[in-house]
Amino acid sequence: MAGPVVLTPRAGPSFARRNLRERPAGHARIAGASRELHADARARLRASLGAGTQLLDAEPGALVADFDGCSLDGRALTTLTELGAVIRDGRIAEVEGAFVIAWRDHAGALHLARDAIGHRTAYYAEHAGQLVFASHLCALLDAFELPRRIDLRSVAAFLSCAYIPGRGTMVQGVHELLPGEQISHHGSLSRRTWWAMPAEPANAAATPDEASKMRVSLRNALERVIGAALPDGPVCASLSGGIDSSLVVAIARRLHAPPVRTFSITFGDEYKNELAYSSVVAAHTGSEHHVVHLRADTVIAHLDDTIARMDKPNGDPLTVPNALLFQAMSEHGVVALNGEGGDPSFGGPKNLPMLLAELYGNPDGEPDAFERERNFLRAHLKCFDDLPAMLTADSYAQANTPPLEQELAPWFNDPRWPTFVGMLMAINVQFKGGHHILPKVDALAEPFGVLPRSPLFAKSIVELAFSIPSTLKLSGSTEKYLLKESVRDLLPGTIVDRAKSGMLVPVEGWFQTTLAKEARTRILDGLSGTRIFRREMLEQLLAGKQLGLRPRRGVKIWLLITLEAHLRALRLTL
Amino acid sequence: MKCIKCQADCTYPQRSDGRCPKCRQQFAFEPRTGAIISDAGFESAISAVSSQGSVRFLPEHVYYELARRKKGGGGGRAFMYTLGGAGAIAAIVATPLFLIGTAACIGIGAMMPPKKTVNVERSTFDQMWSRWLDVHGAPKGLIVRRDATRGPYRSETQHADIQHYSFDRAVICDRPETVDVLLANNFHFENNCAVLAVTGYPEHAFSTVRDMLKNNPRLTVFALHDATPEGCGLAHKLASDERWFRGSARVVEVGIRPAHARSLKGVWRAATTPVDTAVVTDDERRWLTNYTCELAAIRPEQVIKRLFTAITKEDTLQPASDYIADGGDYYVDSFSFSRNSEASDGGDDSFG
Repeated sequence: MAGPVVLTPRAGPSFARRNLRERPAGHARIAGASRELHADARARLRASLGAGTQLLDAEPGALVADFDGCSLDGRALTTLTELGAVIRDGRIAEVEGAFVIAWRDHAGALHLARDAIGHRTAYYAEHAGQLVFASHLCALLDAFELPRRIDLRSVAAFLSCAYIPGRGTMVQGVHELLPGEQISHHGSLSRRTWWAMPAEPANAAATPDEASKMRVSLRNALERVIGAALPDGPVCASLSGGIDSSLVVAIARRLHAPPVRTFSITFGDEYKNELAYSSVVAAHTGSEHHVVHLRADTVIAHLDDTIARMDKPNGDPLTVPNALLFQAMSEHGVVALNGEGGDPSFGGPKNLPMLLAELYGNPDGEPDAFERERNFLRAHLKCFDDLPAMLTADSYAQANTPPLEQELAPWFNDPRWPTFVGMLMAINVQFKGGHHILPKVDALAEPFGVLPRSPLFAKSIVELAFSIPSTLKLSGSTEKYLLKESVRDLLPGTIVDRAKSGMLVPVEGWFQTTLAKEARTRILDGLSGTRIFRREMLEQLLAGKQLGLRPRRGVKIWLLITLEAHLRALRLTL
Repeated sequence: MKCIKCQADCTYPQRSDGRCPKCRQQFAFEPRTGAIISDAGFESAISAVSSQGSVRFLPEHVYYELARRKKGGGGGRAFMYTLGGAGAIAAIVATPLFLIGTAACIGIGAMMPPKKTVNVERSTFDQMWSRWLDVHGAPKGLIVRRDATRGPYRSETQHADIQHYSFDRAVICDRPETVDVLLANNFHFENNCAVLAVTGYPEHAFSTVRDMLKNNPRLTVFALHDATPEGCGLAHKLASDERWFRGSARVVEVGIRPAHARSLKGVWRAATTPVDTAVVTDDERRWLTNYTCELAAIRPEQVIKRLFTAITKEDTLQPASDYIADGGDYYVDSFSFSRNSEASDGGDDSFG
């Protein structure tokens, strides 16, 4: 069998403000306001949101939607008329697929609803007595000339988690719609949740017979949602070599006659990579495999483009590689499958450290009402414990009042999730799914005209995952147990039984060599003037003088240059 | 002498009341009246063991840091130097013949080996530590074990499912203090790794965690201990005792053993118990007959970084039977605690 096609992209044209390729007709972004839009606002929104932008008309009954892969009762929803009928019938909670819909009812009220898990998103603000919204935050700022003030609480959340969970954005007064939420405006703003994470079964365990039945129904559900995500022609898929992307490729290959084209990333032989695993899966499933070799200079050349495309900053070093992967895929197909969602829905990493913290408690301290919440923030392994030293006293006081962890308390005390692992999964699906992973893949695929589809984050799969007892997700120390068992026949044992590794971007090495000067310029020239950070701490971090057992210098520098690029792209100030 | 609060330097007469003449901060120690170290020196030792406040530590670590700083000549060496000094004075006031004796004494003193065991009495340190806490308060990062009589760490009920899970890695220590250091520095949390002491510590989690571990056929256990006869038998015990992991886990001996301790001369302790374990080499038995060395003699940052190396480096293991005649069914990591500790005095960090 022929080896993979190796692609070595070089820095290309900027995709910060314009799409290099448009998505197919019917997938345009949306915007509007509770009152009629002025002509100049319409023009600015069209300029920001690109070709085919859908602007909500002032007439009652008007409807716009950015949607993909929607269905109801197994029947595809492909037109705005069909979506309108679903809303009229009050069946929005039953819709499977990616959408954000805005409509005006017959009384003139504006409504905006986001899909259950958060595959599509929208931003809104109350401005000059009206509600304004758009698919992209920068379009909202440009069109309505909203104040560009930094939200310090979001800065702290971003530095702790590498994303901003919840409604908050980096801009004061601008909010993100929550997954499964509908907001309405008719003189004043109201919110309602039309879909909520289901409660998990009271019993954490299952008999062997029950486990077997669940394995079969999970497999059937996976085949159904992956089958529904397949286009008529060739399909692309990212393939890391982990269980999640591998199972998506394996099932797609089984169900799809046209080519399945898989794509993996490498940063060069000198860095650890997962190519051995992805190649095994490609060979096993018979996909047309491509390896995208990314160099540090190519990644940094498109950093600003990538950050500019994301409405909320995302400090995952994989953002630029993700964008360049979509660029490579765009030459080979419009639909790109991924394996996102397996970890939060089926009991992936982050659960074990939280379990250990729960078992041991605080070794030398008093029991603390928010220790669990603090551990959750710590488990992201970013800057949560560095915030007091990293931020100026004023910034920290504003950012952390009340303490970040306090805001998480309702999630950790929700009676719907009686098991510890069930509770963590519910939090991760809502936070990481709706505010990190799904908006990221949607935003980064857009400039290349690609439609990303994340079948493991399908509403029906998430609902099914929450009906599975937690011990079939984390079984002993085996993560995603039932998910693995449901596809064991499709993949080699080396893939099903391998330990979780994760794709690592070699930022630690890059910031010591190739990108050291770049990082210094961006952080010291760009961030220290914001009055948010203590300059001496930034200098210590850049100089590698941060002490501690696991300094994670590369990850922290990446977070900071992401933040700097985001604040610059949106022209935000304190 | 420098004040640690305001950094002002002052002479002995200026601090005759035991306080800094500039800021009135009390001094804990007065070298002119017999203290073996100044406040600034003691603070520097604390700073070193805490890696400038970023690593949690125990008083034992400060004790060994002080011992490391005060190591040097043994009693014989000091005696010869004193004799040489007296000879030099005599040579000036009496006859040049004393010069020959002076040179001989100094030469012999220089050739005498430095003292191998700690040069600071533990009781002396305990008094100093108590004095330091009285004057300057508890330093940042000091681990203070919670009083077990005050109930469990958590007041709330744990979730029902928590005992159904397991972990692939565990570090089992010979002493509760080592467990305290690992937990306080979040080693367990950052490395998905259970931590227990073979003595049954921490009491509130011990049986639950051990049962969880015993349910995992993929478990790897790392034995971490002092260089003592009991410590050197820990891995064997874990691999052979049915109450632990006999036949159910891969056990890895991490250290420290006498070979690791050999580079830590000056912080050894005199042996007090006979070597009644079979799982040591002849060479180790000879060393353990005379000495022991506590893990606390290595700074906590180094211990944790070396342990991190040990749990992630699979390719440095060899069967114990290659190493010790009756080693038993476990593996020895001869890398993580040896190469770098030989290259340092236990205080530096060249890896991790």
